[in-house]
Amino acid sequence: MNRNIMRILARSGFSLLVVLILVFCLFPFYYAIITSFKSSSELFQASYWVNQLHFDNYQHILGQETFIHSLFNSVLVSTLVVGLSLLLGLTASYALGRFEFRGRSTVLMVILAVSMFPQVAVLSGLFEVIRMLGLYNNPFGLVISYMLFTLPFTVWILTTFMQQLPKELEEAAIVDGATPWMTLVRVMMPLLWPALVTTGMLAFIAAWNEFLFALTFTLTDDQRTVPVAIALISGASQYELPWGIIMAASVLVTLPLVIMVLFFQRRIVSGLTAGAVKG
Amino acid sequence: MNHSHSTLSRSPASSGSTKTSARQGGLSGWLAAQLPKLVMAPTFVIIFVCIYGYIGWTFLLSLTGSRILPVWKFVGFQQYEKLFENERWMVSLQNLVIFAVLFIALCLLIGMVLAILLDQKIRGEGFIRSIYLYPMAISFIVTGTAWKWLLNPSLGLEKLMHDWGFESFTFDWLVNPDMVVYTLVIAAVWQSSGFVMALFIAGLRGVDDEMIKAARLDGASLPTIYRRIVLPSLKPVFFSCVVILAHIAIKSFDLVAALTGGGPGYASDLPANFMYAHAFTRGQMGLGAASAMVMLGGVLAILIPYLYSELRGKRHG
Repeated sequence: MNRNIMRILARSGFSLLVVLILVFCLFPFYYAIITSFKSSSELFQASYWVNQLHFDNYQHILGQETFIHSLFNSVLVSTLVVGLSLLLGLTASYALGRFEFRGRSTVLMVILAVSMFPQVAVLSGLFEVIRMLGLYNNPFGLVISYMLFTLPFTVWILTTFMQQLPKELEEAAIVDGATPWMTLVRVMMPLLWPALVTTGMLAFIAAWNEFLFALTFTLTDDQRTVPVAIALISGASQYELPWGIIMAASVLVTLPLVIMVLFFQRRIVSGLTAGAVKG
Repeated sequence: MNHSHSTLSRSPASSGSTKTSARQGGLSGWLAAQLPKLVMAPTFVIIFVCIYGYIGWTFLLSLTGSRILPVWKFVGFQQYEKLFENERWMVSLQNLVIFAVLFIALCLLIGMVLAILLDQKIRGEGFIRSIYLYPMAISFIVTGTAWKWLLNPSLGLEKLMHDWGFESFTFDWLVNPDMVVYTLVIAAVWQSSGFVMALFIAGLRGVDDEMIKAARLDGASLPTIYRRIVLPSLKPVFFSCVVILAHIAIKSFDLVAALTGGGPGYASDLPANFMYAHAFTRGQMGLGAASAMVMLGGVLAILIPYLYSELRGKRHG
């Protein structure tokens, strides 16, 4: 009897904890969403649901040409970063994962270490080089600088996946006279696509959300990416931020990523654990 | 494809590769033997030359008296001396210690509790897990902005409590120089604990079921099983999490920029914000470079023991 009560108590304690943390997780973003649907007069009344949908904030932000430019820049930069990282990462991880050669684990360690370095350590040098190449205030300068940080983890995760594939398949292809390139494209690629989706998505999230480089390497409104654009939205004075518009912009740029993460949740977790967890 | 986590988590440097058969003679043989290096070269050159090269550049810069533009007049370690006499730098270091310790501890605690909760085979696990995980997709800028709105004394949480009738409730951490660094902790924990949970869940799934069953048969209680079997086997996950979180803490820049702007005054500056402010807006390039090198030193101090133990573990494993 007593034991049953204890068990029920423990159960409800568990559930309470789960619910509490759920609220903690959901509330800030939920609050941002309802704020984005409020009209400016309702803004300062605290309410926890939307009585009436106002699209004013969305109309305002989507009517701004610079914000549309920023969205376009973000899409362009993130897509290019994903494409190039996957291409270079795939070939590099094929070499690292499938061939024995001297210094292989050193190379892997050097690559892994790079992804841990603070960005500010390379900021000054990168700034000079980008200016020298004429890529200052240009989305392509951002593509180059983001690659430095997406490539290491792309290589790392893809190498891990590559090593799990059965060797026999590849050996059979080689016996049949396939070149390494053909083996990679025809045999390995079809098996690797789940890993490619995962790494591609992680690279996309990283590039889409990056702020420090985007802030440093761009100057004018029309060359910015969305995180910088959001950070620089300001009202008439410093103390009077247009909260509704900021929240609308935040929701707009976040929602696609959140949906993507919810949809591919399992893949992302397995990708993340590939690099970080050892059994 | 079925990725069981024990195979998934094998690290890349372990065995399992094919030896190249380079027995054909001549050019094609040489090509086949060199292929891995050729294929890898572009990636390796980009990563190695750029990153390590730029770090070298930053180091050289930190030895000069550069202000707005790089000037190659070397002044030795003067900038480092100036750095540690700078009050704003010391404040940012102190903030980093508070921020990093609390951030790592809370993320680990919440992440582990969540993972253990979700491991009880409760209903709707996948759904709940997604909800805990989604903040990961949100940029620190958006996180910072949303929490700034929420923590704003006259608009957010405080007003909410007043409307509910708790008139005396005050929550002014965002504008209180002594407390502002804790608002950074709250927002960062909100963003990252779901990710820690994901890593712990993966680790929990890798624990040997047979051992748990055996312990159950022997009459061990659930807490005992967790304390004696499950938690010890999570040690590697634990270390990975600490390293990843420490690295997030040290390079935090966006969150401060969006949530507090470093203020009030410079009460909530972190080292990355100090570096950016001095190198790019205040025309103190040499000083900024010196601060970047000190931060890099901090990261290496964490990273080198970790990599060393990884390598050693591999040799013995």
